[in-house]
Amino acid sequence: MNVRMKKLATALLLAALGISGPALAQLQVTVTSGVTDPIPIAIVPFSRAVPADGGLDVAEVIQRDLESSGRFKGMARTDMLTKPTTFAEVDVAGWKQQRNDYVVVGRVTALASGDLTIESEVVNVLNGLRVAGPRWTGKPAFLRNGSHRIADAIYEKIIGVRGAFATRIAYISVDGQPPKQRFQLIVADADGFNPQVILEKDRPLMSPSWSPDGTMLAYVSFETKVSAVYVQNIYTKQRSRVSARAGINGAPTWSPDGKKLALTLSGSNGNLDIYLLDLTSQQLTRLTDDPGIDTEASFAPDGSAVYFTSDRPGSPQVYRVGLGGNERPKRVTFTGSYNARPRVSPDGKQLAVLTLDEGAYRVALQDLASGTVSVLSKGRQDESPSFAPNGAMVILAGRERGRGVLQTVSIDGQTSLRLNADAGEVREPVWGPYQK
Amino acid sequence: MTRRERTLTKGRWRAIALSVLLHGGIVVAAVYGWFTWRHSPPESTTMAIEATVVDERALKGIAPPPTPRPPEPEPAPEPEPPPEEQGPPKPDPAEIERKKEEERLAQEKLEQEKLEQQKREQEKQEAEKKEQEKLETEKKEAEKRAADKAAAEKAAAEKAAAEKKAAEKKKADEAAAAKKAAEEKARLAREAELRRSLEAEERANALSSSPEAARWISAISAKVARAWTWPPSARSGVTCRVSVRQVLGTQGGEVTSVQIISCNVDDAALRESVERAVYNASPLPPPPDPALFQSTLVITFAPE
Repeated sequence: MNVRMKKLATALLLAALGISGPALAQLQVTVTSGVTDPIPIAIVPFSRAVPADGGLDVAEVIQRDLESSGRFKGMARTDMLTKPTTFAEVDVAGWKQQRNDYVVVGRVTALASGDLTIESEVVNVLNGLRVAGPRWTGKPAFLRNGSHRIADAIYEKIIGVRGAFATRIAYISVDGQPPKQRFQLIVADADGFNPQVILEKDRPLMSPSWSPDGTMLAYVSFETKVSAVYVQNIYTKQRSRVSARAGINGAPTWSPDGKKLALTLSGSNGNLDIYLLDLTSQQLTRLTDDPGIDTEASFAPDGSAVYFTSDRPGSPQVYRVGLGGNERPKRVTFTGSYNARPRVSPDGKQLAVLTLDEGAYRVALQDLASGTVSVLSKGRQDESPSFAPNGAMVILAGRERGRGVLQTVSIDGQTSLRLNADAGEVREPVWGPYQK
Repeated sequence: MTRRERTLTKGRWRAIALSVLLHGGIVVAAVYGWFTWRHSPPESTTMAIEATVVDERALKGIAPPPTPRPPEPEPAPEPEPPPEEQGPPKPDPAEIERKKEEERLAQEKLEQEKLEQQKREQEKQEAEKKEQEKLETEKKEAEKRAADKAAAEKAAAEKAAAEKKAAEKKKADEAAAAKKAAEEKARLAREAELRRSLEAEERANALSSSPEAARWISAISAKVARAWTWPPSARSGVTCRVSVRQVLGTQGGEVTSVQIISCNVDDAALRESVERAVYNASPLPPPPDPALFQSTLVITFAPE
């Protein structure tokens, strides 16, 4: 009996027993790569609550947020054949025909209390399902923030990562020409809107750093002609000087637990090293001790190590020092002759650095496990990279027509968006933590 | 008239004469007795001797009945009421003789009448018997006819039943044969289907290891990969398997449904992304050989 006969006999036996015969071997297809092409999405204008909404176009805010991530491509309103505001009104097939994956519809309504509510519905037009329905309620003054929160929820639903649109950034704005200049410490929405001046001085302000809870900023001020480190509550504006030691007091960074600052101090001998300052006890701990320049410290997200820039190998490179005690710093960056201003991604897996790439200063990402480096930005004089709290974007300062501007770049480098900062020259942006 | 009938007629007349004589004698005797009784004291009652006078000649002349048969018990002819009182006859020898003769005649007559009666009875009985026999015969015949008829009917019924049974058996046999034939047909059809299926499987298996199949699978993979906007969570080690149903259209495999079989991470966005990828890759590239087409594919998303 040959194999085929045996198979037939088996099949017949199974058939006789009422068991279906062996199925055909299923075709197996494996997909090992994907793209980061933007997902087509239609954000249909929301129904308005006039005049309580102050004329804010909520759908536009959401669309801009989603597009800024590089993950979405919003449909132009002029291409929209209908303007539904509820799921029931959505002609799924029609939107699919127009090559959308999702449609977002929603409504802004005024409550009797004076608050406003945003109700939204996210429809997957490929399978016709309503996949999310984020909503927000708050004061009309915060409607824009509410819109960012809706965008966060949509982003999280589709991308699988929490959105960081309802977060804030801090940066330094410089106005005027030396010797008559005006320096401002500004806090704004992550999209650059709602800038608020936290501090204004006619001497340089530098190196802002967010406290982990997002209520405080540490920075360097030369207001007394020499450098000093301050911490300031962004809501009450109360501030305190935490380091005004002899020599340079610079580059403060908050520890993840919010109890310490890593600082760069020169001491009286001018040798810049990294120190840890306990904010409660004011106790200072030296982390590095090298004749070269050690500066621009950044904590690993778990607080176990500090990354910093050192010129000890002859040119600026990034080193890492563990905080276990008496550990020797280890070099981390080896690509190129210049790697500075390290910032660790929220997941602790990547390092954003300022690198010298083809004669230009650009922001690069280095995978900490593999050491692979990819250049993110495309400017000539980019600086100060800082991760969004979800790790999906990096904010940095670049120069445009001789002027400092802010921009965000998706971590795949595909999307770059210039932020709205209307006055002066902006520099040293830092992305704040998630808001509660 | 037969001889027997003639004899019977002759005897009848003789019996009538005797009867007249007898009755006359009785009357005379009664008158005489009345007169004598009035003049003589009552004597002790003397029972008259009851005797039967048989006329031998008459007897001789009567042919015995064809079948000696005891006559039906019948009350004897009621005797003439005896005289209540009878005086002793006068000793007159002639008278006595005459009387005796009269008595004898009367007796004979009585006998004769009795015989006649018996005969009539016999005849009647015979007639009745004959009638009875006739009736019996008729009855028997009727019964026989009825029995015959019943038998015939029974036979007919049995025959009909047998025929019906035979017809039913024939019908059942035919039905069984038809059923068997249908089952055989179905079995053959199943076998044929299984053979076809096996052949298709063999062909598909043969094709699946062919360069054409490899190219086709690769084309599907590439198209889905181009459509897969993978989320940040799509890292090496993550695996999602989806079952895809497709129908072969003019443009290729039109995706009709996408179902997640399993994902080794709990990530809704990843699931959505692979689903979107397959829908957006529709129509999937058509196979180079239609035999290779499968309505269900399993696509594994495994970022490297």
